[in-house]
Amino acid sequence: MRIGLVCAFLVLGGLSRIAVSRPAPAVPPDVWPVSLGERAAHRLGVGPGDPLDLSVHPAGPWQPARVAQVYRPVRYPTEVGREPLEIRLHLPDLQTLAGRGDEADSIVIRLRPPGGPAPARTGRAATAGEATAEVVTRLNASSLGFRAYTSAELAARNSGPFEVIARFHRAIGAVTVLASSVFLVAIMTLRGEELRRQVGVMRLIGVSPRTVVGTVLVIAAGVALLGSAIGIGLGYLLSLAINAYYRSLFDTDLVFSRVTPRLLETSAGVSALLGIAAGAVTAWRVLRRGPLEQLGR
Amino acid sequence: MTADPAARIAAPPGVVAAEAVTKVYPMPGRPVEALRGVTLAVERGTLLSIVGPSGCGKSTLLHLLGGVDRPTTGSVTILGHRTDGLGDAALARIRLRHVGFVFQRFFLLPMLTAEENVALPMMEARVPADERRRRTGALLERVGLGDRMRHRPGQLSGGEMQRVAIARAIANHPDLLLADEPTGELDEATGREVGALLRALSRDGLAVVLVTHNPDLAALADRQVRMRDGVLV
Amino acid sequence: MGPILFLAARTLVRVPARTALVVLGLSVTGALLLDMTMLAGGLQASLGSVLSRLGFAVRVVPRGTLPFSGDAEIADADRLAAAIETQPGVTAAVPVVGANLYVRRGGRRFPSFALGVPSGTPGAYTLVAGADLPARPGPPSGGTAPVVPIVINQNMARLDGVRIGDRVVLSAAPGTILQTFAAAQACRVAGIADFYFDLPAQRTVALAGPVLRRLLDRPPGGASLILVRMTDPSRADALARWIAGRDARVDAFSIQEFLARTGARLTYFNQFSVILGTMSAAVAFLLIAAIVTLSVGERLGEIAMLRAMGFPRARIVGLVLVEGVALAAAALPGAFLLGIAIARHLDRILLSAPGVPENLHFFTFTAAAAVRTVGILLATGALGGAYPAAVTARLEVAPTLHREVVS
Repeated sequence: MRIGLVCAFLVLGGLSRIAVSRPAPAVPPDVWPVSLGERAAHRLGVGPGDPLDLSVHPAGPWQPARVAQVYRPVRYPTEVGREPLEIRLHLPDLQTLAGRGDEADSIVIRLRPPGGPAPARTGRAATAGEATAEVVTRLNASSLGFRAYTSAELAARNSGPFEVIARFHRAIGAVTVLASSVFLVAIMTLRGEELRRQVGVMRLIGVSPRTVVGTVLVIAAGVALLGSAIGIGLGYLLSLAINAYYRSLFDTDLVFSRVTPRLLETSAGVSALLGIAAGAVTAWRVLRRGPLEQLGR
Repeated sequence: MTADPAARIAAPPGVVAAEAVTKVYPMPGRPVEALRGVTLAVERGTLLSIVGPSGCGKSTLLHLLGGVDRPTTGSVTILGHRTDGLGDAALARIRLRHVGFVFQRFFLLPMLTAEENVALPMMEARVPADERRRRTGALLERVGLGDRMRHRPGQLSGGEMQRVAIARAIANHPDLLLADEPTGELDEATGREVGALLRALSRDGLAVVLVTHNPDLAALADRQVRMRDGVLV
Repeated sequence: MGPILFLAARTLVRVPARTALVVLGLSVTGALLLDMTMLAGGLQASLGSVLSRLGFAVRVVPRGTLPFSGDAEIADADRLAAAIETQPGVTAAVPVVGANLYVRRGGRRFPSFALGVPSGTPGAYTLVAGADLPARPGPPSGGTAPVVPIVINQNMARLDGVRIGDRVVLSAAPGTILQTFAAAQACRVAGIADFYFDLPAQRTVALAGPVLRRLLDRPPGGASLILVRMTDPSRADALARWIAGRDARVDAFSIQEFLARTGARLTYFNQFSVILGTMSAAVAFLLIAAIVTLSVGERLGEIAMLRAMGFPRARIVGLVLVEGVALAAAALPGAFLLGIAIARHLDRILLSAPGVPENLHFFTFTAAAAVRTVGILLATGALGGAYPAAVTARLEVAPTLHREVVS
C-alpha cells in the first residue's frame, strides 16, 4: 500500500536520475539528509540546504532533516495520472522513523554477470536471463514468506492496466469501424442514386453494362481511398494533438497515440474494400432497371 | 378569339393587375430583360391565354402575376395588394388563399396519395380535418378522379396527375388560377380534357390565366394576348 | 406544425432503404455517443450509488489519504468518534481498522483483507448467510484460548471452500516459520457477507476491532477510518468541516466531496469520453447533413411548388430542420439498445483491470446520461439539417420552377 503525503517513499535501487544542484552545507549528525523529488520540492517550496521535519503521523513526533538535493524521478507508465510526491532517505533512517525495525517492502537484486563452467544439463554457459530465472526459482522455493519476480515478470504484472486499456481501445475501435462502415455504405448508396441518370444516359448511348460497373466501382473505390487518406491525415494531426496535450498534462514522455504503418494499411484496406462493396451494391441496383427507367421515363 | 394589341383589358378592378412591369435578370456580361413594360389585368370569370414563342417572357409574367417573383420596376396587384410592398410571409398567405398554380411538370409529391396531395394546401390553411376530407373528396370527384384517391402519382397517368394538380390548385377556393403549359407533357386528347376543365373553372367564377404553346388550348380562352421579346404585341 | 411533421415523416419513408441505412448508421454512432455519456462520470455515479447504499454520510481518514490507501491511522479514533456522536444529527460514528492478514485453513494459507469493526455494526457489509458478529464478544470457552467469530466474503466461500462453522487461523505473518513469532488467532466462520468494495478474487474477513488490533500488535483506540451515520445527510458537508476543523490530523468528507476527490483521478476517462463523444456527434452530423442535402437536392422542384402553393420560407426551412431531427429521433431506439449492449461489453473489459472493485462499473446508465444523449443527438439532427435548410431558404421559386421544367 502506498504511504501518504506525510510519510516517506523509499525507492531502492538506482532508479532515477538525480538533478545535481548547488552543494548543500554539511549536515549535523542528528539532522538527516534527504533527497526530494522535484514535484515535492516545488510543492513544499524548498530547495537544497533547506530544513524539513519528517513524521509518519500528522501530529508528530518530528525528525529534523535537511534537503541534500532535488532530483527528477523516472515517471513509470503506471504512475501516469497520479502526482506522487517523493522523498528519499537512507534505509535505516526510514525504518527508524516508521518504527519498522529491519522491515522492507521490497528488495532489488543485481546479479553478477554469469560465468563459470558450462553445466552438464545444457552443455553451454548460462545466459543472463537463465541465471536470473534460476535465482528467482530458488528464492521462491524457500518458505521465507516472500515472492521474487524478474524485472520482466514484474513489468508484465504491472502492465495489467495497460493491457486492459489496450483491449478497451480495440473494442472502441471496432465499434467506430462499424459506424464508419455503415456511414461509408450509406454515402456510396446515396452517391449511386445520384449516378442513376448518368448511367441511364450512358446505357442509352450504348455503353456496355461492364463499363458502367467498372466506372461505378472505380468511383466508389476512389471516394473511399480519398476519404481514407483524408481520415488518416486528420487522425495523424489529432494524434499529435493528443500526445502534446497528455504529455503536458501528465508531465511525461510517454506516447499515448501512435499512427503505425500497420494501422495505415488496415484503414486503407478496409476503406477500399468497403467502398468497392458499396460500389458493387450500387452498380447492381443501378443496372437492375432499364435505361429509360433510369431517366425517369 | 383575337389578340388584343392594347394589352390592357379595361374593366373594373380585376383579381390581378400588372402595371408597366419589367423584369431584368442580371447575367454575366449583359443583363437579360425578360419583361419590358407589360400592363395587364384579369377579372373574375375570365380565361386569359398568353401565347408567344419560347423565351418571350410568358412564364416570367405568370410568376409575377402569382406573386412568386417580384418585378424589377412597375407593380403587380393581387386583390388590391401590391406585391412589391409585401414580405415573403405575407405573399405566401396571399398565394395560399387566393392563388392556385398548375405547372407543366405537375409537381405532385410522389410519396403522398392523390387525396393527400390535394389536402396539403388545406392543411397549411388550417382547415379542420373533417372539412378537409369532405372537400378533398368533392374536388377529386369534380376532376373525375373520385375512384383514384388512394393512388400515388406513380400509379396515375399524365392526364390524371395534371387533374390532381388542378384539384390541389383550387383546394382553398382561390380567386386566381395560373397555369403554365398545363398540357405540355400530355397527349392531345388528354390535353383537351384538361383544357375543358380549366374552361369550366373560369365559368365558375375563377380568373384563369393560361400560358401555352398550344393554339387549340389558347383558342378556348375568352381573351388572348400575344408576347414577343418581353412585350405584349 | 401539422403539415410539417406530416411531410417530414413522409419524406423519410420516401426511399425506405436509404432511410433505413442512414438510421442504422446513426444508431451505431448514437450508441457510441450514449456509451461516452455513460462513461463520463460513470464510475463516480457507480461509486456514489454504492456509498449511498452503505448509509454512511461522512468518512474521516488520516489527513492526506483516502480510505485504506495506506498504513496511516487515526490515533485516539475512539475518542474522536465519541466527540462526533455528540454532534446534532449524528446517529453513529464507527471506527474501522483495515489491514492485510493471512488466513490458514488446513494446510493452505492465503492472504486476505481484514476489516476490524465494533461488534454488530450495520452497514460495513451486508450479511447474505449465517450470523453476524455478536454485539458483545462472548466469554472464553472453557480453559482454551477463545475462538472468535468472523464473517467472510463470498469469494473466500466460493474459491477456498470455506463454509459457515469452519475454523480458520488468522495471522499477520505470511509464512509458517515467521508465524511462530507472530500473533495468530483461531476463528470460527459465523457468516458470509457482501463487502461492496472487494476486488475480483479478493478475500475479506470482518472481525471485532480489538481482536484485529491485537493481531496487528497495534495500540488500542486507533482506526484506519471513521464512518459516520446521520439522520440528515444534507448536513454532511457541515459536519465534515466541523470534524476537519476540530482535529488537524484528519480529513473528513461527505460522499459528494469524496466523489469529487476520486473524480480528479479519473481525468483520462472523462477526457476520452469527451473526445470520442464529440467525434460520434460529428459523424452523425455529417451523415444527416449528407442525406438531407441530397434529399433536398432531389426535391427542389417540389419545394418550389410548396412555396408557390403558399408555404412561407420559414415553414420550408422548418420542414428541412424537422427532417434532420426526425432522422436522429428514428435512430434513438436502436442507439439505446446497441449502446447498452456495447457498454456492458466495454464495462467487462475495464473491470478486468487490477484493483477495480467488483461492485463498481465504469459505464453507468443514468437518467442524466440518457437525457444528454437524446439532447445531443436531436441537436445534431437539427444542425445537420441546417445547411440544406439554408439552401431552401435561399431558393428562388420562379427560377427553380423554370429549371425543373427545362432540365
